[in-house]
Amino acid sequence: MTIPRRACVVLGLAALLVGAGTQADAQIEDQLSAYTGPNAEGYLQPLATAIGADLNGGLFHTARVPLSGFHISIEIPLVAVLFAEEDATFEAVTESGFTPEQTVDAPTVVGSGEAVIVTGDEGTSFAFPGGFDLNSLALAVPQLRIGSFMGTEAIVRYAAFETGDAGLGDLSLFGIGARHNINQYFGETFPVDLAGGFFWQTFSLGDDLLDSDALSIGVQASKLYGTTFRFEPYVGVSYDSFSADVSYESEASGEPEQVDFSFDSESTARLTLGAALSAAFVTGYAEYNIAGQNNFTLGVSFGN
Amino acid sequence: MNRTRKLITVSALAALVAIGTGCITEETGVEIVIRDAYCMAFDESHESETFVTPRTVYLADELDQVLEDNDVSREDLVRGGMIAASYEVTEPPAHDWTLTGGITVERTDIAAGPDTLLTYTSQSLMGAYGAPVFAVLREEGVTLINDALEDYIAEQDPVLLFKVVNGDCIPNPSASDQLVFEWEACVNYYVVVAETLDVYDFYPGSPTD
Repeated sequence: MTIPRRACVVLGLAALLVGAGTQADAQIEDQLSAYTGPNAEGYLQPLATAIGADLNGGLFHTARVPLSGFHISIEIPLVAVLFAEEDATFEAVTESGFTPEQTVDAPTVVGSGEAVIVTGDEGTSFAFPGGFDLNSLALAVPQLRIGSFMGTEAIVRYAAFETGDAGLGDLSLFGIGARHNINQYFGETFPVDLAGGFFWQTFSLGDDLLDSDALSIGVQASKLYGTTFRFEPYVGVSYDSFSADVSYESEASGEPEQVDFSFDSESTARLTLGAALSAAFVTGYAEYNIAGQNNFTLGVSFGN
Repeated sequence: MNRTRKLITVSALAALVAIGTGCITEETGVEIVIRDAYCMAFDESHESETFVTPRTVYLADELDQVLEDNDVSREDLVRGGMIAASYEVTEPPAHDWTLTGGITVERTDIAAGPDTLLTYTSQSLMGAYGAPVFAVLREEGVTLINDALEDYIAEQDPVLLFKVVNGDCIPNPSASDQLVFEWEACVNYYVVVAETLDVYDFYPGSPTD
């Protein structure tokens, strides 16, 4: 017998994973608690990679950084990752003294919802938990861009949600970075706008379930066409890194056991290709990011 | 290109959501696995190498508590099974002993067993002190445990009676050199819970679609 559950948690970040209703239990941490060892890392890997890819998307939609004056914009980029077929399973190994030890393709957190059962010696069996059958992960990452001082602007991202009955605990995002106008050093006739900068973010999920950091350092170029209605293609190259720490409690051995592990810092190069359309104080933009995990961003910006 | 088209679709849908209201959710079935163990403490004090020490486990009560801790109910369960069993000396004897014997299990709520669940052969007590030793299992005992789990899922309330049945002990205990120690035996098991959840997915369907 199954219990239907329904809830709307929040926009954007809520795209993360589970919705839940009056009984909040079937969550990531519950599934992880069935694992005490390296299996947990394999189970969560696609989610961690997708979060890293999403966090470093949508950081800019132009290379124009004014040299001076008050400029402010509120932006809502929404970054989406599609999971591939290979993200759905990982090589899991039986635990808890189960014999004979077996390695099987078990669902990851984004994989099939069906548990995988293997049989062992003398009628024993071992169960690997199902995933949440996800095909995509989209994060809305609201950000504020403010400048300019000597051709430099600051960018701040912030979001915090309580998932309530969803049982994930809090979701929180904070990021800060800066960009600097580079083309000012090449003279007024330089044909494109150039900027360079960095952005650091921290993202946490649940009660210490996942704490992650992301850093992106890169340069961008763009070219503006038009005056009233403006079109601006842009390109960026960056060096991105992402790391995450996971912590949860498992009672798989019969006693509470704290399980901690880290996803090692993962560094990738990223190529961003995008274009923005704007009129007055509104800009819409779209970009495709080619990196360790490709993603697509759609965003809207309000400001000058 | 198909993947790129999917990404564009995903993002377009997500953007609509972000600037509007409501959520895009897909109902999906998720099988949750709860792994746990029930453990029995045995206090042994004997002057003979042959002894029997019983312990009763009210399996239904144990499982009810586990389900309550995980906020699920019995009707959510779809299957369960025994994974392994282990034993560990928790309070060592004055000197080492080597034991050979087994643990039997039977049902007291219905007529089933006793069947041998596990055996230990020439087991040094000091060798089992401080770390669990996974036991050599016997199919008949495992089957009885598996049946008890299935009966619990079927709304019965199984009660299990475990008995330590020791055969040999080296050296032989005596009134002047009693075999005194404490140990714990645990049965590792899992239950599978089937739930239907609404998950946020901006591109429902199979990843290979």
